[in-house]
Amino acid sequence: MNFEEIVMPATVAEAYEALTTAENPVILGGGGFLKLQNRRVHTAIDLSRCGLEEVHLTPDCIEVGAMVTLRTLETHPEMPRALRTAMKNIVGVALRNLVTVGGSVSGRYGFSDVITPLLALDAHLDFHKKGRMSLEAFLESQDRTPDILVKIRIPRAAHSAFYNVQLTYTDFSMVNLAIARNHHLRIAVGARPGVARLIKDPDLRLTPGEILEKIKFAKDDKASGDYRRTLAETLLADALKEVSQWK
Amino acid sequence: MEIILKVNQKEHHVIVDPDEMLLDTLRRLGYKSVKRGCDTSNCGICSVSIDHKLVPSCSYLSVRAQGKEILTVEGLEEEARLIGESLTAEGVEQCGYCSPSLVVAIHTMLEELKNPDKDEIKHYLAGNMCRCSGFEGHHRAIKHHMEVNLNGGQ
Ligand SMILES: Cc1cc2nc3c(=O)[nH]c(=O)nc-3n(C[C@H](O)[C@H](O)[C@H](O)COP(=O)(O)OP(=O)(O)OC[C@H]3O[C@@H](n4cnc5c(N)ncnc54)[C@H](O)[C@@H]3O)c2cc1C
Ligand code: FES
Ligand code: FES
Repeated sequence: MNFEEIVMPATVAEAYEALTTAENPVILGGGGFLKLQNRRVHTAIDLSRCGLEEVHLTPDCIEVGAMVTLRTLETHPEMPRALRTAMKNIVGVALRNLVTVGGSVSGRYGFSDVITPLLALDAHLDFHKKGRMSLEAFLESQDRTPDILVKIRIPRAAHSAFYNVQLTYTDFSMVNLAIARNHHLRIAVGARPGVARLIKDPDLRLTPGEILEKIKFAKDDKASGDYRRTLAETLLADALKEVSQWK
Repeated sequence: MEIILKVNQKEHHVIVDPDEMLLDTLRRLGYKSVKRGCDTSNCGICSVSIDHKLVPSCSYLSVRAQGKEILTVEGLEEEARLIGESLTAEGVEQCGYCSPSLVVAIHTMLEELKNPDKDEIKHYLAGNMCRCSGFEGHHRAIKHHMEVNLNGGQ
């Protein structure tokens, strides 16, 4: 992507002002995915000086600023296990030091290994203008009014885990699955290749195939829908075995 | 726009385009060790250290690097020589295109992880591609460097 001008606001309020007044603007998170786009815009709004790189811990949740990098999610000892595991095979350390959780969520990428664990963990998003909404509602919403994602609130789950299948160590997932239990059991399935979908409180007497029955899997150049479904059922069987060990 | 970049402890006043990537600025400034591979933050060939973190300079905006400590292999001097010797001793270097970024990656890894084991090394360097050699040689060279150069020959 190319742009003519860059603004580097010191606060989210200033960044939002630029978003609503600048000519043909784009928000820059880590810039990793924007870099790949063949697109020309006028003004890039850089969030790197808005103080969104902090992680705050509260007794019941972890608040992660939108500019926190995937490497911080991977290495921060308080992050839920599903999230830490999911980061490990996203390309390499250098990329993970660049790209952000805010850009990963805002992009609503179907392949995402970031959205899947956050959905299972029941993350909530704080936007500058729209306020708070669940990640689940954000992924379903058709509202594309520009806004700035400020932080992500992740409830502290008692247990969580992440599973995926990649052709090579650092490739995109062919399918991924996260499972978390706080008061409820939540399963998220992503890289279907569409964006992750959620299953809440499944009946554990059902087989993995039955639990995943309503989830749609499709074909792309990585795998067929049927193959993805078979993989997801296997991952879920492994995950449920793990759940049975959770105290 | 005019910015000041601090590369290997040296300040440079340089005029950059708003969308210019650090890889291009560094090469313009003469830091030719910084190489371009994929140009999509996939291969790690362009990696430099910024504030002690490994980042792909092909995708890092130059304007964002203001006020930060940028380190390329030119700034590693003696350490680069020692790591280079270990790479040569283990027969890893072939075309050498990936070596500058590999040396910087080994440097940031050893800043971050004290005495990493083989799995940790493999995981840390997974994003650093080498199209000539196998990665086993890299592990041997790092082990050699840690044993001979860092742990006093133990
Ligand atoms: C080579 C490569 C390989 C990758 N492989 C994987 C992989 O295997 N698995 C995986 O999960 N991910 C992968 N990713 C994606 C990566 O993890 C990030 O999700 C992606 O780069 C977006 O994060 P970013 O910080 O770079 O966002 P950007 O590229 O800066 O932005 C992405 C989008 O979000 C918007 N945006 C950014 N921040 C905000 C904000 N705070 N508020 C509102 N809008 C915002 C931008 O305007 C843009 O539309 C890969 C990326 C690259 C470049
Ligand atoms: S050239 Fe930057 S990661 Fe490949
Ligand atoms: S030695 Fe040739 S790319 Fe690594």
